[in-house]
Amino acid sequence: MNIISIDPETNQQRILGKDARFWLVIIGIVAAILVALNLFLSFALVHISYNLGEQVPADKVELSITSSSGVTTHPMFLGSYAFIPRSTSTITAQTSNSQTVKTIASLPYFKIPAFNLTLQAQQTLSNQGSQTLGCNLVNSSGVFTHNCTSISEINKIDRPTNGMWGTVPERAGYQGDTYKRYKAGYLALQDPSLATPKDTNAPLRLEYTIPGGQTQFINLPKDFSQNTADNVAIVTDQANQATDAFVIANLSTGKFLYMPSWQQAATATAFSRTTQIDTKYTATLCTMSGTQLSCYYGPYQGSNDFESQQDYKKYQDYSRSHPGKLELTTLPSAQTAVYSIKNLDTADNIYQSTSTLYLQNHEKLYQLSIGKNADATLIAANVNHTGPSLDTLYYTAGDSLFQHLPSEQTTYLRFHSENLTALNPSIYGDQILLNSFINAPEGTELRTIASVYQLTPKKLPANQKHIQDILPYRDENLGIAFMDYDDTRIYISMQPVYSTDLQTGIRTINSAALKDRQNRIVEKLRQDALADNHQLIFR
Amino acid sequence: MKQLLLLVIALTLACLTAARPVIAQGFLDFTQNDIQTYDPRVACSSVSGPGKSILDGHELPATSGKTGTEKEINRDGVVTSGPDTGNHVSFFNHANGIASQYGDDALNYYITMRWNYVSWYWNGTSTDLNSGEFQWMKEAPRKVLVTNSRTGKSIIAVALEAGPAPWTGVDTQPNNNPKQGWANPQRGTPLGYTGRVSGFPQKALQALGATQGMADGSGDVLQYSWAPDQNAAPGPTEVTSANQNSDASCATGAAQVNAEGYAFPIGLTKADVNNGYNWPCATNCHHDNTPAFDLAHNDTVKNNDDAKTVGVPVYAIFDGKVQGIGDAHRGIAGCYEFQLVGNDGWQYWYGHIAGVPVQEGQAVTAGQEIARVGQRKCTANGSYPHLHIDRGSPKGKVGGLACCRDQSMVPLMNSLYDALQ
Repeated sequence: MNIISIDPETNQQRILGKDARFWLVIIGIVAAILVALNLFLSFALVHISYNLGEQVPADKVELSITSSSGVTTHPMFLGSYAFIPRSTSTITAQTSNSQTVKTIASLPYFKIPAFNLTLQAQQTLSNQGSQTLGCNLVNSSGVFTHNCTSISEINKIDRPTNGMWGTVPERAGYQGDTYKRYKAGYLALQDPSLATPKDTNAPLRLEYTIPGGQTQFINLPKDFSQNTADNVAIVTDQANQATDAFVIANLSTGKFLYMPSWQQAATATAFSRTTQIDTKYTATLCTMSGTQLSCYYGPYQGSNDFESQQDYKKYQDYSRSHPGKLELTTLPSAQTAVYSIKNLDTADNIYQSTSTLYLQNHEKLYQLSIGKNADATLIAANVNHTGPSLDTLYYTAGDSLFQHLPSEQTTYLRFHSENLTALNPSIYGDQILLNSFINAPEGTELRTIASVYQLTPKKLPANQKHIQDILPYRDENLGIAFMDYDDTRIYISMQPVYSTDLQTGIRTINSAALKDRQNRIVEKLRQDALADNHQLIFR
Repeated sequence: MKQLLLLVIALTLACLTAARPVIAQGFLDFTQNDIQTYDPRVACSSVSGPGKSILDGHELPATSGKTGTEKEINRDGVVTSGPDTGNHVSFFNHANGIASQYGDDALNYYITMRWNYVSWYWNGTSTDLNSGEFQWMKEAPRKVLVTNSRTGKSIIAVALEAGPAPWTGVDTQPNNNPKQGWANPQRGTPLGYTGRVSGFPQKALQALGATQGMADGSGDVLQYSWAPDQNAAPGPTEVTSANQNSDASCATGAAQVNAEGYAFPIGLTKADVNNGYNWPCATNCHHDNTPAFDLAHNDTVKNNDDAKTVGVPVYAIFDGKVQGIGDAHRGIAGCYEFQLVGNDGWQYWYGHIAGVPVQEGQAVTAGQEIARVGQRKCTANGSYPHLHIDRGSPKGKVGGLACCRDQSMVPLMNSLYDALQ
């Protein structure tokens, strides 16, 4: 049979007995089906709506979507409906001072999902103290601050009634490079290999310090760590300070010690990581919630297996085909379940807020959904620090504080001020602390002051500014040397006004001019409605 | 002549007693008006000793120390902005002459120091007038040669104002008790004082590439001496010397910054620093063939001498702020990594480091020490101790990702390496 023939009447070519127009129609239909199929597989029709919560000013609301790779675009809307790529991981609604982000794990194929975003008013911050050192802790004894890389020195926030607010030393001279928050204080490792003189026979000591309280020590078994803190990690429940249990992990050997409480530390249960974990997974990150230990295992480029140049391609291939495992261990029975991690090749950090696990890879934060696998869903793309709490996770990103509520699959902006860089959320019960720098012009003393703020439940009234948006004053013509404040007091240190006798060069304080300067500052505070509801302390 | 002899003896003693050896050459020669003969290491070498430059028997109040900002003045010697607007500077009588002789721009290069004609209280007031000293300052505009050893930049500044108050740059409060050994009242600067000893208008600070001394201890330590040529025009000047910035004691805790504002990120010499391959780096000098750098001492790379690299200072490559110090790197105790979010728009990833003296979010300046190289364990024992540095691509993205490193980092590092001593 000829595939191509000539129609004797029309003299036109026929294919399989059909004329060309027929085939053109067929090709067109097939192409249209393929295009439609591609659109169907690549895009989803969704319904997006928003509403303004209490005290959120009526303002233009901007909607945007962010892909799993972190690219943000604005979808085209037909009324409240929009076609969005199936790779979309978040939908964001924002106004000039509020922002709500909905997380999308997956989009259904045969249903139009509806997403409603509620914009909420920001909360306010209460200044708890100044001259902080980067990381802070609050407990029943007060607010404490230390360098984030160590607890070898801890200062207590000091706010005398009439004096300048600052810090006083709480303790100093300890080792404390390896530490973790635990209950009202810290667990830390005292490394005998760092002692002077070096004592290689001494056991590794575990320290429990409660700032404002006691410091106690126990010795770890000598065969656990070869008497060095290298590659030893402390794992505690970061979200719940009521949890007594903790784990000490030797990341090199995969050995763990489970301690049901500090008091029962001597009766530790030893166990090892499961044999299902690849020995090439040298990156080990652990967290715990209650008595569940959660560990991420993944390949690490700097490990012995992959460090050399010729091995780099091997590492790349390996990490793509073996992107990491999540091991959940129930304690003290040490029963384990291992899950493959999907949608994420490597991770730097792991967090847990009671029932929800998060992984961070550089600045990207993912939530894990545990099913057959551990599926990672992008939540935020430029995260600085996180603070897990009960059933929620606070994080700082782009100088702002956000709260992720896994139960709602939603993130809310809780605080933003152009004048503050919000960092290092630190949680104790329902107290959320932030370490913050004042964004002041370079070279001014204001820039050097780091402070600790507490997030309050009070909502920012519509069309009002945060006090952090106003203070400290940046107008150098006011002649302010330094300014600090809390909820009830404003502390002002004025630059002196000098009078120089041009005949003798002798310099004195011009008290009258200084009084004028003080009056101008008070007037400015009055204009900003801050003079009458604060005690003004001039120094 | 006797004074010159005393000065030479004092400077020689200072050189001999300095912690680091200083080659005794190019001493100030006030008989010459040729600035080319001045070696700033001389002024620098007297930082740790009591020696002070003397001109016609008049001592400079300090030969090194931090600085601050002063406001601009007009030809009448009157402050034109800020809270002291309208006030005369102490030696306002020289302002018009300076402007007439050298142009108005010369007034942007005035210096304030706590001149010795009075004793200074901590709060910035003064007493105990030495009228001879005061008259000498009033007689003629006295000029000071100022050098920033971190940037290698110098200016000639004219003494028109007195100050700053001792508390500035040390405390945030004028009325606090005297600190750092400042007994009331003081002429000059007592030993142990680390605050500001001078002040300049903004333009002069920019010419020096200098950052202000701040209460947190940051800021450039400048070197001061009477200008060898008292007729020199106030403004930027070049101090030529074969090794003008080679004295490490002049630049404690800081690296040299080039004209574009970049500093080599590790405290190793040109002869010692190893990138694992050859300098200049041809295309990529990282083991994964990406534009990143693993920097260590030659002896560490070739002979496993870890001690030559561990603890070596790590510097900010550009002005910016530190982000992401966070927990210990990969759970390894005492090991850290972070991004330096540069004001040039790039994010630089520093890895395998320890001893981080800066806070999360802290603003840092190019050349400032921001870490030390960590031990071998900071590479998960996968390599020798080293500083890893790269910057993210495209511009603005985080560094540290093997997929996304900026290729133009290679010529930048090569040029910084070329400029090393």
